[in-house]
Amino acid sequence: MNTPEPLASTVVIKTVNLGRTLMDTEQQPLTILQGINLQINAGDSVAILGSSGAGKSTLLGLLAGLDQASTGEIYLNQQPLTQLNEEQRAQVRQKVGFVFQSFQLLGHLTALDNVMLPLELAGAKDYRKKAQNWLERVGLGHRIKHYPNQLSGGEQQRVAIARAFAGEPVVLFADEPTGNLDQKTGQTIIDLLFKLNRDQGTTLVLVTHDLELAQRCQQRYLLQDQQLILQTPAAVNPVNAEATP
Amino acid sequence: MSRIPNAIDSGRAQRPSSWWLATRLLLREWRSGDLNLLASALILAVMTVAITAFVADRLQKGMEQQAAQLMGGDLVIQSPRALPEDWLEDAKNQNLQAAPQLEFASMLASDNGFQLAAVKAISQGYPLKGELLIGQSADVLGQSSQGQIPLSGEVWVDLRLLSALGVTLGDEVEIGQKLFTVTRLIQQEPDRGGGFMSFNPRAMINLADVPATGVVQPGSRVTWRLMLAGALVDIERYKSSIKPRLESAHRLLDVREDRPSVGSALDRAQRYLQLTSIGAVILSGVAVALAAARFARRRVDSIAVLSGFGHSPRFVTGIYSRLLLSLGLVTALIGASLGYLLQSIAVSLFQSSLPVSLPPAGWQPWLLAMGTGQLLLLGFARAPLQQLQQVSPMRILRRDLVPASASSLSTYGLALFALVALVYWYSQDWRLTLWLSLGLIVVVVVSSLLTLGLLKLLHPLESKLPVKPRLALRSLYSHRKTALPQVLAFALVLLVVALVSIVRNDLLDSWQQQLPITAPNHFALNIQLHEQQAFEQALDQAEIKHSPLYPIVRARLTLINHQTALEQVPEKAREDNALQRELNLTWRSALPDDNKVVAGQWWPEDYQASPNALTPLSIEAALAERLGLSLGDHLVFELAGQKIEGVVHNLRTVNWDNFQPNFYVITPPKVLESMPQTLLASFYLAPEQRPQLAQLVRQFPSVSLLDIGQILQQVRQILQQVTLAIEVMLMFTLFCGVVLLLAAVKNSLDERLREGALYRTLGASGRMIRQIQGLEFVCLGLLSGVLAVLGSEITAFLLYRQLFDLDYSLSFTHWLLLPLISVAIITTAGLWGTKEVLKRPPLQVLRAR
Ligand SMILES: Nc1ncnc2c1ncn2[C@@H]1O[C@H](COP(=O)(O)OP(=O)(O)OP(=O)(O)O)[C@@H](O)[C@H]1O
Ligand SMILES: [Mg+2]
Repeated sequence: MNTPEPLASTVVIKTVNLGRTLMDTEQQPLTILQGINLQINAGDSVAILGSSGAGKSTLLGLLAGLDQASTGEIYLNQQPLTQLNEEQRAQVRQKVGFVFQSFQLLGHLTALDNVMLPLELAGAKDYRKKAQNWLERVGLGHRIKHYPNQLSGGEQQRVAIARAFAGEPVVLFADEPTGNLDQKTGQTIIDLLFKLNRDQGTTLVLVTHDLELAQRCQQRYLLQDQQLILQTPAAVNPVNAEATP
Repeated sequence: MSRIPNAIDSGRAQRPSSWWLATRLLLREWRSGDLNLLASALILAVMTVAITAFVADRLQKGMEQQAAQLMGGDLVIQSPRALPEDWLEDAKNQNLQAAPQLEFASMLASDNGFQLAAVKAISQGYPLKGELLIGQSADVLGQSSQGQIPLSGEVWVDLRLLSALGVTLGDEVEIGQKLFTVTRLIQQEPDRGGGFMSFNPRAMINLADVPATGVVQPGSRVTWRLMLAGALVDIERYKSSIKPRLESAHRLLDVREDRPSVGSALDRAQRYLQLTSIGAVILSGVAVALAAARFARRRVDSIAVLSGFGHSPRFVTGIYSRLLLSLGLVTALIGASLGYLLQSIAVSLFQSSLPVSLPPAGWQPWLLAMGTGQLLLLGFARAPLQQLQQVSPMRILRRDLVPASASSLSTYGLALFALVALVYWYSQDWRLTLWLSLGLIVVVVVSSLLTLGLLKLLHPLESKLPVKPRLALRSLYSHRKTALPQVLAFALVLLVVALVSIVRNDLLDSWQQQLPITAPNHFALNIQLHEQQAFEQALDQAEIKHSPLYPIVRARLTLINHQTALEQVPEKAREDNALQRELNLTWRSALPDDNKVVAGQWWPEDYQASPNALTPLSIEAALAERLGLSLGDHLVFELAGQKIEGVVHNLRTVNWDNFQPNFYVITPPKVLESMPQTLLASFYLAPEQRPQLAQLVRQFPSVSLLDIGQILQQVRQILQQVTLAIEVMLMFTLFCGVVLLLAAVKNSLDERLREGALYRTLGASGRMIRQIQGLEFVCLGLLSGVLAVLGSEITAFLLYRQLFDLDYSLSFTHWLLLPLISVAIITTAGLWGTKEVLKRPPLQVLRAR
């Protein structure tokens, strides 16, 4: 399975028997993910579907190296995340973009400052111009001086997306990137995502309830009963998926 | 069930009663753990205050006990005439120990000579406080009298009297018309009544023998004393029962009046203890305010939900009022009990190094500590929680609707009110309250302006900086609204600690200077002019360190502004000693060290008396006040038929604490030189030089030598105890300050942890995050440190002048040290508190926030 492969199909993400178990408030173990085997090639676009509470965000966080797995292995960009320490994982993440479900903008910084942050941390030169450019591309060119609490939910989401784009990642993880957006704005963002995927070969891993977005991805997975199930290219309705196991 | 009026209950019968709901919410609050920090802050506050109050109370009592020994009792009533019989009876009926005594000057005669001596006639019970050491000879250390007093017909004398009369134990001496046998040598008298200024040698007889001597006649100059001792409450009760019956000639002596040298030390020590307690209160206030603000921040959302569900703001406030009330009660009880426990442990650890064992604390500290807790809660926690009332339900939808900011006037107003109330309660002193509050307001306002100004100023420079300082500065700038209270809190804590240690150093220094080990412990009086050279030579030969020989002219003040002095002075000064006896006059061209001119001016060094001009006089300020003298008054002194006429030219304060020769009246040189005079010197006699003293006594029989070594010793002991008290309080304040600083840093970390975790998700290396946040902490520390120095200098300046009567000087070490310490503590604590960012996966850190 792990034979050297041509560049186009280089594996960027691979998990082996990945599992995540948490302790709940009564110190009872709570298994969210179990035995997940997944492989995503460079340049792929992948959608993860599943009902609320299925563990989608948890899985995304694990794949991006933001959380620690309980069992199994994760390889991101050929790096064995589970064997790295926090410091080394951070290093790997420099090539990774992440859009949080809850945005996670820094409230005391303006939209521009928030988007500049990954650029500055990476030591980019014209960080201000680039950040401004990204904000314009998500349609917020006129709100760059505003603070997160002065922006609507959708606007905050777009700032978060711009911040993820700004680092020019190899892999972009997005947790419901269009969840708060209207049809039209959502479409713009989706176009932007796939343009990035096309032009720069950025691998996309998206968690979404948006069928249209899921349709545009090359692969779709359904997360259910702690397991990840590859969906046939046929239409998948995540709402129905909940009802019919 | 619910008798609490509630807006929402009306018309909605199906709702659970608001009382029940409130109670459930309250319990939930307690269980949630979010109250823990606020509760610990309050417990810490009450505990701190309790410890300080308990220790201060006990030390105060201990010091007063010690000082009471110097005075001979807890309370002394002094009078030139016999005191009414029933006063003694009353005292005994009120559970007090009481012993009358009578002191007078009399000539004692033996077969070999005469000597004027101070005779103390004592009664059963003497000494009520302290120890009388008596012995058979000068060479052996005496033993405690154990309540023994001279039997009828016996006289006990001190060494000076023994040698002046040329007698030994067993010989007979005459006092007036009665013969006494010398039976004991007095080695140490705890209460050398009348102050050490009574220069005469000492003798003690039984009070019952006085009539037989025939020395004391109506009109004789004598001092009656009723010495009293007992429990504080009994003393206080007796004091207030006796006060209305006091006549102008009677004087009630308490510890502070009787011994100026100890009195001022006690006074300052007490002020210091007050200052540290107030410092502790300020520290606690800061802690409570920080914790309450944090709690309010964490509650904003749930309140929004509550009001979103239709609960009125009043209902919400009701819950939080009850919350505060129960919180206040529980924490006050726990805090005060913990404080009591800890102070008993601390005191028992220190007990062995204390000269006396400390009496137990009274009930007041309990009240003080618990009351302080409530006031702190009201002043520092109420406002942030009150703001929760204004949370709009819209907040659920839009998180930008922050409640009225914590910098609102009501917050600071309430805090200031609580602080002023507390400071006044602690000090009972409007001046201290005023100066301290003023100092704090100035510090807070100046610090806020400086901090904000500085950040505003630096903000535009940001883009020119390399990435780490740029991000650090941006974070500081954008956090300025929350950083300001933090900086203020840090600075305030440092300020209190710095102030407490600065004052401590200067107090101790001033005491050390006051009584260095080689402070003169002997006075030589009545040196005749013709003996001057010989005496000086004798001292020098014996290698005894001595002061210059000061001339003394003893004269009686007879006329004030051409009228009899007795008629001119205020009524209550008629019996003043200064009018009854001769005053010591001397001349000087320069103002003596330690004296300060408080009105008028000192004369020029080269002052030349013109033949017709009136002599300028420099009068001791307290004497002038007692006698109602002011600048320009015309005075006439008389001695042996000669007159000295002069005009009050200046008033001057004298430092009585230093046991140096001091003078009530000073004139310029040359004016008095032709008058009959004697000389006075003070010198330090090391223990091994004792034999030289005997030599001196033999060589100059007419010179009176006064040994004040014992008094110095006692004063030193008290100072030592006070010093220890101050050290303990300082250590404790330091400890609390550091703990609080750490807590304050921790309290500010919520945001920084999130920030760090986010940097982490963006791939920042640990070093980078550490450096950015480290820089931030360094800036915060530096700023707080500098503000603290500035603030402590301002407050110290005000306090020194106004309260401690100490000279104030800038301390450069503080300017260096305080910012350094501040940076070290804040940076270390900050980095330590945020270290989980480096170790834990960022998602876990973010979730935990
Ligand atoms: N730190 C945690 N402690 C306890 N339970 C957790 C923790 N993190 C996640 N869970 C639980 O794990 C489950 C999965 O959470 P996750 O956020 O991954 O769901 P999701 O699929 O993203 O749901 P949604 O579509 O609603 O965002 C949930 O039931 C959640 O309560
Ligand atoms: Mg999710």
